[in-house]
Amino acid sequence: MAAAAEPILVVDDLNVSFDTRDGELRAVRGLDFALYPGETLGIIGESGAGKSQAVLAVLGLLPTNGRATGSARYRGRELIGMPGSELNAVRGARIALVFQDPMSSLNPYLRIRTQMVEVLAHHAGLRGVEARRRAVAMLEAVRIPDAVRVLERYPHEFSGGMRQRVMIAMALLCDPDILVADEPTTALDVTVQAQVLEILRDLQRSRGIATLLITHDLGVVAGQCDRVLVMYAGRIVESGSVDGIFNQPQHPYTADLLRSIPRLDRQGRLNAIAGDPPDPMLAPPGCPYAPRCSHRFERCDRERPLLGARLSGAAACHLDAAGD
Amino acid sequence: MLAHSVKRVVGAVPTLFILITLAFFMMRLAPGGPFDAEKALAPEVQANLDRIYHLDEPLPAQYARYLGNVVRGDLGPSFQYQDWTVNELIARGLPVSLRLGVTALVLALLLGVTAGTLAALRQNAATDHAVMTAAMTGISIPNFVMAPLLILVFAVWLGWLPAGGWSGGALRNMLLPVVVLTLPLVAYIARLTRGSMIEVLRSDYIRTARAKGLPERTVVLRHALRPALLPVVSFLGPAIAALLSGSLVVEQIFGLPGIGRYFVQGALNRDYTLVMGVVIFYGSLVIVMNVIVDLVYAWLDPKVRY
Amino acid sequence: MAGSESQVLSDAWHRLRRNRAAVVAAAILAAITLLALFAPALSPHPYDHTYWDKVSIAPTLSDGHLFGTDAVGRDLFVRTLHGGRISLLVGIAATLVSLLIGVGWGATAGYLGGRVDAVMMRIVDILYAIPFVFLVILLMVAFGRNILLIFIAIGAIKWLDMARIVRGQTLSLKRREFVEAAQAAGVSSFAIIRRHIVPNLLGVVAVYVTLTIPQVILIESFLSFLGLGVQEPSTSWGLLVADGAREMQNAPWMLLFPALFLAVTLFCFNFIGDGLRDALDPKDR
Repeated sequence: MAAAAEPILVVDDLNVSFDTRDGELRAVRGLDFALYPGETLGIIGESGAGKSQAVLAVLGLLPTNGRATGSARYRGRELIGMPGSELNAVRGARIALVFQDPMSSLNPYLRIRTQMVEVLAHHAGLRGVEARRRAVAMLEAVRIPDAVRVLERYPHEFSGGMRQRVMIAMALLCDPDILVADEPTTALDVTVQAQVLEILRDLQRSRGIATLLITHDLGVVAGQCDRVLVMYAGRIVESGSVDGIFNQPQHPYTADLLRSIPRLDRQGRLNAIAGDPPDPMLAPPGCPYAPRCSHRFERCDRERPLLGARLSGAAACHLDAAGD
Repeated sequence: MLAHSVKRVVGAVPTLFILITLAFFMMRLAPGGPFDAEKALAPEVQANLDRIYHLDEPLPAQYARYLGNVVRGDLGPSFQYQDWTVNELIARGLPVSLRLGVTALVLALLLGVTAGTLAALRQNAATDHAVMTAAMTGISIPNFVMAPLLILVFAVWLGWLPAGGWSGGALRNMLLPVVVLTLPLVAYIARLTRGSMIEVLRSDYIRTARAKGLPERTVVLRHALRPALLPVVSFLGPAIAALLSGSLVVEQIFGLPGIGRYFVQGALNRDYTLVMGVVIFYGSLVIVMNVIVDLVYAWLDPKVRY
Repeated sequence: MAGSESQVLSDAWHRLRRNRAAVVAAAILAAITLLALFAPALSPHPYDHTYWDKVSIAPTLSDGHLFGTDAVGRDLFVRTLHGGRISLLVGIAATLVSLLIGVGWGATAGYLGGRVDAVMMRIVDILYAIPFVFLVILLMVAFGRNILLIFIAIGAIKWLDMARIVRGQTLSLKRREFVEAAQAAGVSSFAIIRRHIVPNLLGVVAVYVTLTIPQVILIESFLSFLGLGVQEPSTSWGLLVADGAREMQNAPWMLLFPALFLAVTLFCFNFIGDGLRDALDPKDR
């Protein structure tokens, strides 16, 4: 949609690894993507595909045993390796995050007010009445009733859906350019999921925030996103527009994912993909999806397919390329 | 919060009761009876004892009477220090013991929490290993070993500090006793803080705080410190008990005129009333402090507060 | 089931053996224990024999007074090891007493559950808040100072932690299928506790024991230091440190040797206990 504009975030050959007791675990392997102003880009994949680790790495939030190499440029500024004090001016203000589990992501020992006002104080120098007014306005924007009283409460007094709205309000306090939402609705009830997604979509459209939406739920992608990246075993295996991916998936993994969606109009059992993702400690030579792929042929075990252009995007599979 | 407080305070009553009961019957059931002293008692002391314990009455009646006296705060006359009541002896020693204990506790909290936090922030780095090795040493060297060693080095060999005495609580005199009382507590608190801080720093809400772009100092001090301190707060009860038993050693070895010294002298001289009185006084102190610690905990943790 | 339990223990054993601090500590501790057991018998000097012509002599190789002699001319090497024997004996015996009471109490409460459990654990809670060291002193004053009483008294106060730990473990274990199977087969409650629950607690108990022994040695030494524990001519590390503290100006070795043995022993137990805990719960590191 906004392909003509300059991308706001460019990730280039990003690698994330963790030092573990049993050796080096490679979570993300050579990830490339760009995020354009105002668009919503979905990153989809099973748990362990490296989706979350990639965005945590971009924002310098990896645990102490994690290491990121490669490049991630926000408006031309390199984020990987940026000193903490400089990075702190970006995260929370220019790039905001909403995490998966609202039950554990808010500090249970501090009032909502403290947790919201500190963001304004740190990034915008706002304190006192002015900061409170902004916080209340933002809580109201995420449709929290009785926002003035909510400010004085502690997180444990609210339901998961309410807490996630507080998280969203907190993330948007400083009018960020980018919102990263990491499985924002996974921990919520289905009805609450819909409400939170709607709030997210409305705010994102009305404020023109570029959004990176990480999820394992194709339904969420269909409702929210403009473009999609499909990740498998730390790499992108397919990218394209939402329409393209849903109607003409180019990679067998994407197709299998689509088949695994439970649907009301299709009776029968869930088609979970058989088998497990590869061990992130190992790097066998072939296509990482080959062991689970129903289209697997000899070349798949020998050579890892690279991402190549397709109808509406790109895919990393020998299947069509083999005919060339 | 109020209901919680009431519950905790009421909960301490049976503990106090059991403490007093155990103390009483231990004394009364001692072989030969505690008051068949090897030395003749002054007649007025004997009369006082008879009055306080009503030794001619049946045991349950004596017990009820003693309990009544304790509840009214009367611990009876001393056995050895004639003309003194146990209450007076405790009141005399209290300022010294209190000053030592409070100084040691405050220092231990400041140093222990700081060292533990630094170690947690530099987990497995040199600072961490140094702090943890020092802590293990502090825990493993008992106060009654530490005290004579420090006296040997700083008083006997180097001659920098006095080997004992109180001198009205001069800094020079306080220094070694306070160090001996403080070090083991610093060690425990540092270990506790490190463990809980590492745990807290891994939690989702700390990641959120970092994602908000807050400076590391704010993340640690505002977001992580309070939850990391909860185990330390729980430890304060045992810490106070440890301080009290440590004060016995320290006051004895440095010759300080505190309650602990009276207590040890009383125990060696079989001054039953004094020993029993101090046991009940210290025991009650620990139990009451435990309740206070509990309330502080509740105040720190909003999930308990409501 | 049994296979996975022993797998856990053997993994833990493997991890423990890779923990160098714990292995060294265990070796030192074994050496001290062996010395304490055999050296007094091998030395030409009895622990309570007084050499009036050799009062407070410094450590020397002649006559085999390796650590010198004390203020009344007794061989300090033998006395230090004799004291160690007493301290270790009290430590182990009192820990066993606490173990028996604690495991029995905790396993019973956890296994029976319900109201019995509630009452039993409430009793533990109440006792927990009592500072027992003072009561032990009171006991020593009232009943006289003898070593049997010391370790029964210490054992009787140290079981509370064990009871709590064992109860928690029992609660989680009793839901597992092998206990249910035994129940279904009509095995009595007591037999289930003895045959299924107690063996499964071994790991936790091992950690607890290695961490309790030094605490008990500490209490015993503390009492003896104050003159309220072991009595002359027998001795323990606490009593030797007290004697040494009195003589440190003229004969610092009288303080240094017992202090060193006591501190090193406590150190070793703490290191092994920490190592065991890490080995059994690898997440911690």
